[in-house]
Amino acid sequence: MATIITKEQQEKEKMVTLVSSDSEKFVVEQKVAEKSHVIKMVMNCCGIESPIPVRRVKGDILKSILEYCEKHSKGEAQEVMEKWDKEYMDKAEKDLVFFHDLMLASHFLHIQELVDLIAVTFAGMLKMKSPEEIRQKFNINNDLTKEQEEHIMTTFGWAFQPI
Amino acid sequence: MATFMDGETSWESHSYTSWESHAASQQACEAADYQTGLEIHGRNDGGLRISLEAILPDDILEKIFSFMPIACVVRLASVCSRWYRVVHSRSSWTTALPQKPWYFMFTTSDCVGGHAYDPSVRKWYNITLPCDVKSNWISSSSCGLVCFMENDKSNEIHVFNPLVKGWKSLHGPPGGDNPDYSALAMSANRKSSVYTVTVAKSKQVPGDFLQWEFSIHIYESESCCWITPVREVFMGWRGGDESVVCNGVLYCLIYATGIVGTADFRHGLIMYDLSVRSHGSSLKRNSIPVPCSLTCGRLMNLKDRLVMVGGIGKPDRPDIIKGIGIWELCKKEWREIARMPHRFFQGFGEFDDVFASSGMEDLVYIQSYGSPTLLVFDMSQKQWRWSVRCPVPKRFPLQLFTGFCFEPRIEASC
Repeated sequence: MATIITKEQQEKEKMVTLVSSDSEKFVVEQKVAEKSHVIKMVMNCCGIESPIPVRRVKGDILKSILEYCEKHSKGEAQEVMEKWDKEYMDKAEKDLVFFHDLMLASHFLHIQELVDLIAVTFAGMLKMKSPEEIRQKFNINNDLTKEQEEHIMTTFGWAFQPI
Repeated sequence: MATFMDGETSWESHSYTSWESHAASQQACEAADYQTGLEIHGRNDGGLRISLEAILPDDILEKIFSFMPIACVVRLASVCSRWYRVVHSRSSWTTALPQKPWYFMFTTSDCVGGHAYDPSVRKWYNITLPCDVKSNWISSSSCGLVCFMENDKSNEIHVFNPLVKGWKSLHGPPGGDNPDYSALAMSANRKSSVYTVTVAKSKQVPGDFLQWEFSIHIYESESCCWITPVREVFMGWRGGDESVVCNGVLYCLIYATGIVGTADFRHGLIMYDLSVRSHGSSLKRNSIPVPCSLTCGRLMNLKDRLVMVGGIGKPDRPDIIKGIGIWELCKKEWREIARMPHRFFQGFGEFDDVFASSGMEDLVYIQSYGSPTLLVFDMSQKQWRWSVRCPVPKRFPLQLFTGFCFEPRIEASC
């Protein structure tokens, strides 16, 4: 009896297969995949019977993103979600390359909540650092023109006042 | 399965066939950025280091910047030229959430220097206003722009953004008769640089102490023209210097000039819909009385809600205040939102019964004229909080402090 219910449930919860750029396959519920606006569009027009290739996104990133989408499709209490989001971000920001890839992929897949979450975390990383520290951490060349530098210092000198 | 690998029903074909072309091309651009970025990373950095500058597309940068205090964003503009471009492009800010409003306090009496308080980082910045205005002039502010006018001289109005250089001077409304009182209000469009300035003038009718001519003048920055849709004579009432635009409606406080009967009815509120542009029924007849005997009444637009802050007078001595209240106008009825707790009210020291208040978004700033102390009320959290102490102390006993609230926006221009 119990097995029959499970079977029925399985049929109820429509599953879809997503394939990452490195050919890793992920089978998830449709409502989880729908968290991505882009995948939702694809499913709407082409159905969910065939696997959907997510060519731009590598397996480890897609796995992490689907983990987020699954958690966020459950409709849990706000406090629970906030705590989970924080832990999710704490883990992600440890590896900068992974973190950047996650940002680009969530942006590419149009998962607005996740883009916002990563952007807030990113903003927190940049907020307390000086421009020079940021250039070093993220390997950026200072290519400002003299005019741009002058404009910043003459008009926005106040922003550089010590606390 | 092979068909998917071949790409017949691939990502691109799905997207290009099924989406609106705009969405598809946007995706394609993003995808292109993404790939180019990774190629740069692989080629230049040996795959180990990553260049954020190279791979983060502009719209992601905009997103990240939109979650930061404005001073941080300004500092980030000096990281590299692309970040500079993103920070200073107008489009970056049109969709961003508004920043928490700042409070500018005039801290020197002889020049336009002062300090601006950012509540999100609880910090004061030493700022010089771009334009020569005086602390005792009347002002109004909207979407990053501020306008100033000398109290009883409405022939010149200065418009500027406190955070950037440059300003514009408007000729006041035609018919340059010096009014006895004038009120200034401004309303700017968040997405474009279009703004409206209103001046409400009050002039005593010669030879009649009871009659006051009240007129409303509207300036549109698009047409650079003034119109005067309202002229009305009030009996026993006059306009003052307090007005605000909220949801396209101009609100002005009016004051009883005749012999005071009931203290409660010394102040009233009139409303004029700026989109109507014609003067039908009497403004005075449709006025709304204020909820109690009021001093230092100020009107403000907090997220398109009309809010009034004022001192609550003692029933027998309306000029002495027993507290400070905040009200919101809901369907022509005043609803009390908050009353300043006693410990904060006492915290101003010699309160002098005169104070300034100003607000927008979720915040109301209240300051005593007699000291640089600043109190902040957060409407969303219903919370009172002192600002961090202003770095400029009071230097002489009769020094007066005033200021104005504005939204910090570096791209707003007049």
